[in-house]
Amino acid sequence: MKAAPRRNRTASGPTPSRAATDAGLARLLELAMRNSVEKVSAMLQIPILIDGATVTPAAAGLLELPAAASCVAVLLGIRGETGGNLLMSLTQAGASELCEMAPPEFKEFMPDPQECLRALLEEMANLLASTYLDVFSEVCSLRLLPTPPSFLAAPSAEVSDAFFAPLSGSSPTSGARLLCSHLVLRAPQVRMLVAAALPGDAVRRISEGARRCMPELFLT
Amino acid sequence: MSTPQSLGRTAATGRKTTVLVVDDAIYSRVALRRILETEADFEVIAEAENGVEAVKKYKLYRPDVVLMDIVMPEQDGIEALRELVSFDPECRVIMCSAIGQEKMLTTAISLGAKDYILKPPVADKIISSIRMVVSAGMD
Repeated sequence: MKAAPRRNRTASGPTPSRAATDAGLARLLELAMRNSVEKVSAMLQIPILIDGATVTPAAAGLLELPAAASCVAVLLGIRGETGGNLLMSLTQAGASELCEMAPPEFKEFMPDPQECLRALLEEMANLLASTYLDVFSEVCSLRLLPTPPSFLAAPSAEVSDAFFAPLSGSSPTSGARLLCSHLVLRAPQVRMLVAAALPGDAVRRISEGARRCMPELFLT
Repeated sequence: MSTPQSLGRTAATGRKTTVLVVDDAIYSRVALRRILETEADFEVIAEAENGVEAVKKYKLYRPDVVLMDIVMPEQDGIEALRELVSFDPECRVIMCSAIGQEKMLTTAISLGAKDYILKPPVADKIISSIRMVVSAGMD
C-alpha cells in the first residue's frame, strides 16, 4: 500500500479513518452537550439528562424530528471560521409543558402562551448554542459563533429542509456530518433533540483542530 | 421612567443609577430588569433589541451603565460597543453574553467594555458588576 501523500497528513499523524473521526467528534459532542446542559439547567432550574450523542453522515432521514405534523424548533446558523446549522426541536406538547416552567413573572409579562413559548425556547437555544460552540471553538482553536435564533413552528419536513439548507448541493462523499443528541428535561419530562448539520469542510477543520488540541478524543 | 432631561451622569448625588438593557431576547431583558428592580438605587431607563437601537437610546438617555448582549440582529454588541466608545469614551458598557470564548472577552475588553458577564445572568454578579463599574468611574 502506498503511503498517504504528505498533504493528507495532519500534525498528529496520518489522516484518520472516517470511523475514527466520527468517534472523536462524538466525544467532542458529548463534551459540548455537558457544558451546554449545565447552563440550560441553571437557567430553568431543573435537572437535564443527555441521552446519547451520535455522529452520522448528513442524511435527512437520520434526523429524528418529532413525528407530529407540526414540531417546534429553533434554528441557529454557525458563523465564523466554518458554516453549518444548529437545531433544537421538540413536540408542541413538550414545548407547552416546558413553557409552564417559565418564571411566573415572565408569564405575567407575556400572557400570550405562543409568545411566551417562543421567547423561552429562543433563549434556551441561544444559551445552548453559544456554550456548545464555545467548546468547539476552544477545543479546535476556531472562531465559531451562533447567529440570532429563528423560531419555527412547522411541519417536520419544512424544519428539516431549513436545517439542511447549508448542505444543499454537497455530494454524499463530501464528508458532511449530522451531530445529534437528545436531552431529557425532568419534571416535567420533556424530550428534546439538539442537532448540528456540518458541511464537509467544517467537519475537516473541526476534527483537525480537535486532533491537535485534544488527541485523546480520537484514541480508539 | 425618567425623561432624558432629568438625567445626569453621577451616582454620587443619591439619584438612581440608570441602566440601558440591550438584548434581542425578551426573556433576557425581562430577567435582567427583574434583577435590577430588586435594587432600590437602580433604574432600567430603556431597553434596546439590537446594536443600532442601543446606540440611538444611549444618545437619547445617556445611561450610567449599558448591559449589552453580543449576538443580536442588525448590529451585534461588539459593533455597538465600538460605536458607543467612539461617541463617548467614558461610557460604561458591561457585556452580558452566553458566549464565553476567551477571544471574545479579550476583544470586548480591549474595545472598552468595563466587564464581561456570562449568561444565564446571576443577580449577585450583575449587581456587583454595575456597582463596581459605577464606583470605578467616580474615582
